[in-house]
Amino acid sequence: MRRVSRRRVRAIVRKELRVYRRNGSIIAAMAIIPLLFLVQPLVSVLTVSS
Amino acid sequence: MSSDRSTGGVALSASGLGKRFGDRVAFEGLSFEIAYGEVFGFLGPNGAGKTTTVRTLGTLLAPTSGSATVAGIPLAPENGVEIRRRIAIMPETPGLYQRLSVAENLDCFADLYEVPDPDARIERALRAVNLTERAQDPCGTLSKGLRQRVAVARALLSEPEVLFLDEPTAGLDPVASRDVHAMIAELGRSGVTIFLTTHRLEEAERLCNRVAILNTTLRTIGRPDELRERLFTKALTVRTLAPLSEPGSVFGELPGVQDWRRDDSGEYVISVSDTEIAGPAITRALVAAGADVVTISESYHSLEDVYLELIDTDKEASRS
Repeated sequence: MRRVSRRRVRAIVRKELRVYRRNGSIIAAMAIIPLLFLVQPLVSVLTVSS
Repeated sequence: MSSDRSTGGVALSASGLGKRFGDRVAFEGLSFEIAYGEVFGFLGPNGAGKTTTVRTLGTLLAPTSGSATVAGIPLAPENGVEIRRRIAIMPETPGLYQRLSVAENLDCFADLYEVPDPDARIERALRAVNLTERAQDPCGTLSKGLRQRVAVARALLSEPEVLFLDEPTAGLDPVASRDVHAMIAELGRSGVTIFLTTHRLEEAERLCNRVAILNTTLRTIGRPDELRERLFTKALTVRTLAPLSEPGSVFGELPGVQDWRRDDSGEYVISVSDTEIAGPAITRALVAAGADVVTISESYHSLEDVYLELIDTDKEASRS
């Protein structure tokens, strides 16, 4: 069994990160859910307190 | 291995090599030898087994019969890694990451191939395909021809002993094809053994030292001029201003003349054993007969004629 090459794994990770960074739709998709989980509780809290 | 390379040893050889997918034969009985530094053309119609042969010799598919050596190493599962270190395959579609620049693509593949000193290798590969100035351009913005060149640069990163090029000019316009041809010719001159599959015959004729024609089985192999001589008799074509009154008496008894006929365009096609003997004799006979000769030329058969002759023979054989 061949050992996993760190250099190869690093090459793939680096390539994927570069592709993500240049793909606006991936960035947007990655941002929407965290933003939703941030905004929705805030709205709930503000609504309850008033 | 390197001594084989420098002394012009055998870079690729196959003996009775075959590959089946169930009952379907992709190719069979393939036997040939290719020397280091040779540009070898592998021709055949669609479905002839060209790409499967490349994939088999490139260790991506296991053969079902026969044996082969690739870069001097026997083709066997246990030698797959060692063989892949010494070869490179450029598939028909380049398969580059469109959002990455040329340099980033090469950087990624240099790490995947684990080449030593990647920056110098990338620099050399870019220079070889004349793309140094486009290194920072995203691959998605390049033309199809330039992307093919990037794919060749990627194939050169590992400095392969044997380079498989699978239809490198498929879908390219004539200018882009010419650039790729020039690059392949340059690689051939630099000593890389090139296994070029194509169905563009003028490409094979221009670039290859030898060609093989495959149609599931190997139909023929040799230098393009050898194949022409093997398949076609030598002939001279004579065009006269007016038809000869008695062509049989003009051409019939001349030395070196085997046969003659008049073709649809009114030219006389004369089969000869030796053009240097028959040519002057025919010229003298025409002048003596008072013919107004417009041209006398040697009939030329292209590699395309050879190819079509063999493939048509195969089609007729399969019908009968």
